[in-house]
Amino acid sequence: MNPDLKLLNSLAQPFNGDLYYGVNPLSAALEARLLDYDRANRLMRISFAPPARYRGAEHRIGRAAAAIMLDFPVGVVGLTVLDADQAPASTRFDLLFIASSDARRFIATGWVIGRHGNTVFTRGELHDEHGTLCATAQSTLSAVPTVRPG
Amino acid sequence: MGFESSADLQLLGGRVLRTDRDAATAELEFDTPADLVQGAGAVQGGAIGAMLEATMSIAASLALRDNQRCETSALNVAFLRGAPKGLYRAHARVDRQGGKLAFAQARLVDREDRLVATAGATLTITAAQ
Repeated sequence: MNPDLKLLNSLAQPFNGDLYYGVNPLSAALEARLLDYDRANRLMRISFAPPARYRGAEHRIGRAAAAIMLDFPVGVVGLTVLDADQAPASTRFDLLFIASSDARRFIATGWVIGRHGNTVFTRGELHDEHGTLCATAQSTLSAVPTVRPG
Repeated sequence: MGFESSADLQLLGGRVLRTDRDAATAELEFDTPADLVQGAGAVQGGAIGAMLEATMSIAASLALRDNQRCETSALNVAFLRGAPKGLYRAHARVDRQGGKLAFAQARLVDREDRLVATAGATLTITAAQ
């Protein structure tokens, strides 16, 4: 199946724990929900509601939670420019941690800034539900043949 | 900032194996929890980066005075091979630590000692609250 269709089939529904290929316990734990998947503008947004174990003192998210939430869109958004039989694999992931937050929900946005052959360059931002910028990311993706589990 | 690395260690299934204050190094082991695994069966890249960040943060904290704390401001991760769920070891070293900034690097290896990922970090040193 075209990865775009698989992604949309899994994300555009009420959350069922299936964010990407097959069952995904990580997206389930974070209550990931797709907000936008804009192939024309090569952009996607996902909301997360990280539970208590992703948070530290005063219920604030840690760096691990910020990195994990941002990694979703800056990686998956690569699908918008890849062929149907390709999937994005991260080779570099650079983060700036700007502010923590105790918000209940976070929104991670990723967009493609360019493609050079089998390499895709993306950027992303993590905001809390009040609009505070918590972290930014830049990622380098490599197009690999689509592999599905099972 | 207020990001909490100790909570991150629990989240990542990490424990400290050894630290060396004089050498400014730290070695941690991570037994990746099932919920950090993506649908394709690999540990998520963000979680890999977080393991390296936590290790560098501990290494940098070894030389701090009682009234100081350090927090990672920038993290750069290179993924060298896929990382299926399993046991990983991270080793971090502080290259330079001044009064306001520290620079560290880290490596993550799998059970067979194969290099899985490398990282560098810039940490900001502030007065403890």
